[in-house]
Amino acid sequence: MKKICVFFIEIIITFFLVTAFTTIASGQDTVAVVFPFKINIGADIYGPAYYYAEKNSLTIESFISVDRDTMKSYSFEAGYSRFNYEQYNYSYKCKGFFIRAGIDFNFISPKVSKGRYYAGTGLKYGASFYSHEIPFFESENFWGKLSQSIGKSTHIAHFIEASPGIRTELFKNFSIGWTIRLRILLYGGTGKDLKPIYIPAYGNGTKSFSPGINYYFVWSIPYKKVTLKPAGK
Amino acid sequence: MKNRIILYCSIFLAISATMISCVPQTCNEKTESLAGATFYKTGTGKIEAPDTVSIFCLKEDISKFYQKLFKRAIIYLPFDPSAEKCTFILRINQTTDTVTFNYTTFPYLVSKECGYTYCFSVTGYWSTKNIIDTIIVVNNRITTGNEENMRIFY
Repeated sequence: MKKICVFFIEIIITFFLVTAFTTIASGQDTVAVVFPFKINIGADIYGPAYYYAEKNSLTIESFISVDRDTMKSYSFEAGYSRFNYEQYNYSYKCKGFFIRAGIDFNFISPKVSKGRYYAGTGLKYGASFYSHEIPFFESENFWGKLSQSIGKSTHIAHFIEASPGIRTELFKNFSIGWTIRLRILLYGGTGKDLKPIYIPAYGNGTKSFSPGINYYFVWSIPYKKVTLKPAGK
Repeated sequence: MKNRIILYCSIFLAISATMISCVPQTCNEKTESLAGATFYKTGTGKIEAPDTVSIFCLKEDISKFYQKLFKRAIIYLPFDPSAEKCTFILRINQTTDTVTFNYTTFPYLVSKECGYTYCFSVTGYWSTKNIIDTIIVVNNRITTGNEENMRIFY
């Protein structure tokens, strides 16, 4: 329930962003603007930073996106993730690669963003190729305790995600920004008895909804320029 | 002005991100898989609780007391995950019967917080007929849901 509330808060924030930037844009419609189309290459620093604090979980990922027009860009993301978890009655290991592909929609008017600012959302499909194992688990009932292990098995999970976020240019062709990940699991890759505790790029595989966050450093390569004429000219 | 708005938006998103907190959860689910057996009165086809039911579990010819219940229409039997069959001695209204179940065992993830347990799939059963008339398995999959798996007619 709490996560659903967060989801709706994200939607409200996104609409706030659109409204704010549209308002600004309305006052900047009198001069011609040169808009550069770019290829963006980004690396996530949240995963390595989280690993520094929590050694059991490591995710390394990056993305490449190509501007299709002033509002949309094609995006492809890939990464590697490793997750170990241990508590009093079981231990769990998971690792694998993942990809995401989709479109990012920039809600800022191109005359305001000028290719330097992004506030919008991505809609993407993701696939996770992972293996997991349970080196130890223990269960207790009337007959006593019984310990067992389950060997490594390989699976493919599928999910979709909405990724609202913002990005701003700090220096020429160098940006930073946040992306919130709101994911819905389509298929975890296992049966219903042994659901994965962790799916790379998705998170908790026992839940049908999983949120996350990335913080990106982005390098942009302009490959084409278009001139946006003022309205009415 | 634009930079200020970007900054405000960053703060908004950062605050909302912190709301997606990783609060450690505790295990609140049932972790034991028990086979639910409901008592029916032969002839009437209706649920009828015996006055008393005593349950003993039999392992390697040693019987171990499990439960004594009064006026209970449904009982829950613990299967042994380390064996392929389990025998119970049921004393229903002072008359004793022996019931044996054959089953397969499989691991099952309850939740991240609770960990794993064992569930069972009943493959066969046999019983003496001193007071028990018939046993019908209505759901051979025994999970932590503790639902009705069999009907004991007596």
